[in-house]
Amino acid sequence: MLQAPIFDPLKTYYENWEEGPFAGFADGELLPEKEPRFEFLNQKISYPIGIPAGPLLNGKFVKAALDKGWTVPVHKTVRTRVRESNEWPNVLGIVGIEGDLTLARAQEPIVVAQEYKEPLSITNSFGNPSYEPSVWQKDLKECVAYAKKGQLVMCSLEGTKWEAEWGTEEYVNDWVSGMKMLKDAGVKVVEANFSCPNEGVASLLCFDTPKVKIITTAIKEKIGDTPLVIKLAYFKEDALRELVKEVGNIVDGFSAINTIAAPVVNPDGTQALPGGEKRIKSGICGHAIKWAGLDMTRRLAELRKELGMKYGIIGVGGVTIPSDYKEYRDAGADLVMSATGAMWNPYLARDIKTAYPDG
Amino acid sequence: MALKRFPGFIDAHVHLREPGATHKEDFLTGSRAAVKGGFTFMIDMPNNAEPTISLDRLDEKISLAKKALCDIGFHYGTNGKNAETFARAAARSEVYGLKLYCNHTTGEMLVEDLAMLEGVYHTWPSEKPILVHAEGMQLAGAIGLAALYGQRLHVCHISQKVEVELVREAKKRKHPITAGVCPHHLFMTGEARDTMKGFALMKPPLGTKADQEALWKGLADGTIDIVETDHAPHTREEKKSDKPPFGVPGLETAVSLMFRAVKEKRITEKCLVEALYDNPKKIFNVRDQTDTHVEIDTEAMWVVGKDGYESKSNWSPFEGWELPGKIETVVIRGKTVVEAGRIL
Repeated sequence: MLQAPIFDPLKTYYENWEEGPFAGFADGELLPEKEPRFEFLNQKISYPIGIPAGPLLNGKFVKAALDKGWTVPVHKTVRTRVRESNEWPNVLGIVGIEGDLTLARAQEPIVVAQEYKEPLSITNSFGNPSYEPSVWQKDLKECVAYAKKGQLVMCSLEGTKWEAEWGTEEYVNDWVSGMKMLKDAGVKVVEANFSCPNEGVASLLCFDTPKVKIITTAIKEKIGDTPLVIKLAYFKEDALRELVKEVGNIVDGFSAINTIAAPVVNPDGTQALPGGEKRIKSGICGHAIKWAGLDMTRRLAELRKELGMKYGIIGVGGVTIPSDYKEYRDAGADLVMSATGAMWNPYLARDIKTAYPDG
Repeated sequence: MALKRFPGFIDAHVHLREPGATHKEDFLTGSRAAVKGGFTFMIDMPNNAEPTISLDRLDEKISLAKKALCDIGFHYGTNGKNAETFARAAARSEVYGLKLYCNHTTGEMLVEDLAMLEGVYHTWPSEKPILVHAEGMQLAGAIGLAALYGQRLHVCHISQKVEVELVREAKKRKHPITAGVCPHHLFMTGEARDTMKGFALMKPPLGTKADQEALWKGLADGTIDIVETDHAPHTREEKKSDKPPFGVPGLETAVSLMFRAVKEKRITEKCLVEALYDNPKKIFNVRDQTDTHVEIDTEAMWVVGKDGYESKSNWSPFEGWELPGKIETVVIRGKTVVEAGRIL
């Protein structure tokens, strides 16, 4: 059953950042974490469950997630300079589709509203805002220190072409310097967000295999043994094979999927999100995209076996009830993460651990 | 234990719900239900949320189905406006026929316009059959058009006495026509709706006692060629709702139900194998699955449970029925996928 959300969709990003988290993440109840029994990218963890980059805006949210037994929380994607948030609203419930958001359905407008119901799917559009590195580095250091034995704090980063005249070298350098900042903050597993839709949904970075190879190679040269996970969108079959062949031995893990972008409209058919053309489409997440996350997880697992590679797999997308977690584990995920599900049920990690004590 | 070996059974009519409604079923869970029920090959219908009426949608389905435990083929679909894709779709080895909806059912693929229907029969390459959902006297029109254009016609889920008679007459006149029947139409009548409510709703609906007898007679005398499950899973919650969707799951019970028919001497075991293997293989030109078989304890009885299904729907219209025929082993191309009744 849906509970009050930890992030208040009626408030702005900045209000949530200052005042949040809310509801179950602010009730003070501390859930225990068991002895580490699992391993993810050479890190010993208590249970393969986490929250992906997105809902955990800052250190307060990450600490609350740790308190509620989300063993591997990922701090939201950060950048190397300040980036403002998109205008409110940023989160809306999906009311206009039944069943799955297929790729064909995602071409048509989807009705959204401040209404949240099960099975839960939402759209979110923040534009990957970021505070100064000094702010999030301080937060990350505190969170890493706060984590109990068996817990692992991760953080996601997106490189940015800050200046119009920048070429590939400067852009790659931004990725590399950002990753170094994460490592310096004590983050033991870092994530490169190659699938953020606000950089242009038509040409996500993850679909540009040569560029992904250049960036990941440069990052790994800089951060050495610190495991690097890259965040992917939903890929068609041949494209995924090509990417994995090229970078599967460079990166340490893949996280899939991010959201699926679709045009979102109000019930009267008008554009739902203010901000002109760049916000006609918005990322859809939750139950409606579970099929895509599962499909990617299965294919990544098959490719790993076929190509004899060793990368880790984080399965993300539509995990809102415990059996969703099991489906991802059965599909081959080493670690499962829930964003939308965790936002409306902060106790979902506990429910999953109870339902599947052996992971 | 009376273990007998059979070929891997073929179900030419399933709705595996992916893409579009994976909360009801997906290719993995549907295929798990299939092998648990003794099927090693099945053909998926095109009436998904985004119907399989373009080559892009077909490619997407073929890709998504790769996770299945058994082999899966596809029937292409038509809304009457996609005839220009027929030749390329029919040429695909994964496609086994064209499904044409002449009556309302799940999905938005009804073709009622006569000119469009004529176009479909005229354009579909005739080496693969046209499968029709045509109830009652709608079937007469379908038979006429198929005869006019020299098409092989497969009548899906035949359910009424008049349909059996039409198929019998067409066969007498040497029209290339075949028909399939679903276990739920063979074993249940419309009276079930009084007690089972939404759980007994499907398209075509359950018939009368007279319809049921005609179906059994048609199956026994060869008028009806195959048994097809029309596996159409929906969740319990959906079936309990004010507007229950049409369809029932069937993959996990069909083979045992047909062994019950053998035990009750309604059909012979030879007829069972023809209806679940030889005839669908011939009608849809299904390639040999080498080193593939199922082993069934034909004497052992089991009770259809209230849960524990492989299908995501997790229910059956036959809950509580005691059936003979336990699927013990399923081997697909040399790989054992079911052993001692459990999926490996």
